[in-house]
Amino acid sequence: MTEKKQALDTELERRLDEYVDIVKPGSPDSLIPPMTFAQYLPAVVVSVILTILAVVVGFTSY
Amino acid sequence: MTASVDEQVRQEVYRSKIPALLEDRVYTGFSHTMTAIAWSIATWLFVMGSTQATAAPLWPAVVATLFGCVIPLLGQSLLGKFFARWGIDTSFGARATFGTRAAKFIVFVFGILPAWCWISLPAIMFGRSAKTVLGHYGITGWITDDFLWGCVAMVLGLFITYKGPKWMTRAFNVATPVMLLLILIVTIRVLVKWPISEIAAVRPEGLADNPLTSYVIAVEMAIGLGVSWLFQFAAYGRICKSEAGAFYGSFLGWGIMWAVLAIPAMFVTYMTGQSDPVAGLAGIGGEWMVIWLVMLCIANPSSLATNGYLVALMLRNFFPKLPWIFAVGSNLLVLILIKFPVIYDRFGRFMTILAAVSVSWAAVWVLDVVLRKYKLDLRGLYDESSKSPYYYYKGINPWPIIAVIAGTATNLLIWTPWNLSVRLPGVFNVLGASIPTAIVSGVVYYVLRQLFMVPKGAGLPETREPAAKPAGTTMPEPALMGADGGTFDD
Repeated sequence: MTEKKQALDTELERRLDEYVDIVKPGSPDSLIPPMTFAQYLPAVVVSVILTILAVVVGFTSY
Repeated sequence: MTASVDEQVRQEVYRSKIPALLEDRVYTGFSHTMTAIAWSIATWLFVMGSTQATAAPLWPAVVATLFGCVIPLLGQSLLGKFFARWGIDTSFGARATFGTRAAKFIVFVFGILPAWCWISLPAIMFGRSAKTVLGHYGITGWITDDFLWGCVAMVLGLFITYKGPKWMTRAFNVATPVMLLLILIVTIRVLVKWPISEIAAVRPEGLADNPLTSYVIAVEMAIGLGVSWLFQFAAYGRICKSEAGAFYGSFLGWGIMWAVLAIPAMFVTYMTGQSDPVAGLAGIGGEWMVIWLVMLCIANPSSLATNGYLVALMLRNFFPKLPWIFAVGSNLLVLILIKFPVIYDRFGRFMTILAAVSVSWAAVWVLDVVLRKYKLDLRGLYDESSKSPYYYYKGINPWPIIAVIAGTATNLLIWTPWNLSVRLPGVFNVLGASIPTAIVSGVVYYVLRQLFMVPKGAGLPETREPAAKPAGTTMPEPALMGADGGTFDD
């Protein structure tokens, strides 16, 4: 149990260091691929359409 | 380190506070979406569809459900991206916004307790469905006891939870398409029996005297569902292989697909008045109930498993010495809510109260994460001492909490969500209650943040000079992390 706890503590430290190493301030690097502007567009477009629909239905159906 | 300990450590990534690195990421965008859909497809989705069908006719109910489920996900899925970037759990990620101590309380009260309420729903419906089907075939006696079948669902679901995300990924990549196919088959049969024009012609009694108010209540209930995901983006987002996969897995699986898959339950409720799709399907022939039950046999334990995992993970982060099997087993507390189904029997009220409580937290948390440009001092999150940049005032950041109180007060000023009584119909019938709540919470938090946090850099270590390298560590750079400079995020 003690061995496992020590191993976990060591692993946590190693990983915190690794994050610091990979994701540096001001760097475009990320641990995993960051989202680009274009990748947001489908979600935004769908949301805008649904908002318009909700408003139109609210005003025209009642 | 022995091989077994090494393997145990690798397992702990999925069961504890250890941040997930790239090699630990098991979810692609597809598999994350499949898991999110598996989470969605269960009792709650069908009960939601049935409840929406009591509030408005078909097309307004469909639009209200889509809008209410999807719009909150647009903002909250950014939390999925945030947790994917850092590989951390909710119980740690929330510390940056709310403070190292306050986050524990908030995550427990607004994350774990509602999750237990949610978990009771699939187990109850599994039990009731089994009872209905067994009764249909003339079987009686103890074997038809719905509580017994609810316990069976719990055991099946928690077994999957115990096995962890790697196992879930493989299981749900197969199970989810099967469930979707079964729902499609039954939906086609329903539409053959009852043409869509006939369904759309049904005018439900509504949840208020004014039909417009009833429509807005339907929107509010859907928003309640949408914001109920708030504390759940980390469990699977943190082990996604890309930020886009984390974002869209949540957005599609919990937002769009939830709303779309609730529609078949609406059909059945309009035509039969039954809130239980299994009972409603009796109207089109008993054999169709069997197909539905097969789907539910997969769906309800799947949802139990996915939800149970996030509870176990958060509990384990509160109590690191808690063995995994006990963290998973803590979900058995839900048996009380299965025996006394207060949440199931008042689902609509549960949703509106959840919306009133959760919208403010969602607005403040998402705004904070975006304003801090997804940056973190990861070491600071794990430091519970007063030296942590997220210690604020005795471990509590008062400014988001004040904003949440202001937002919730606004919500209660507009209406009382527990009895659906509208106080300000002029506001409610145009904007609902959740949208003004989110706006007030967001504006109040932004102002307080600019006044009290930004000038001192409180809780914003990325805006200050780099912290000194801790003695005795191998940290190669100052503890400033997270910029992805020049992208849309910034």
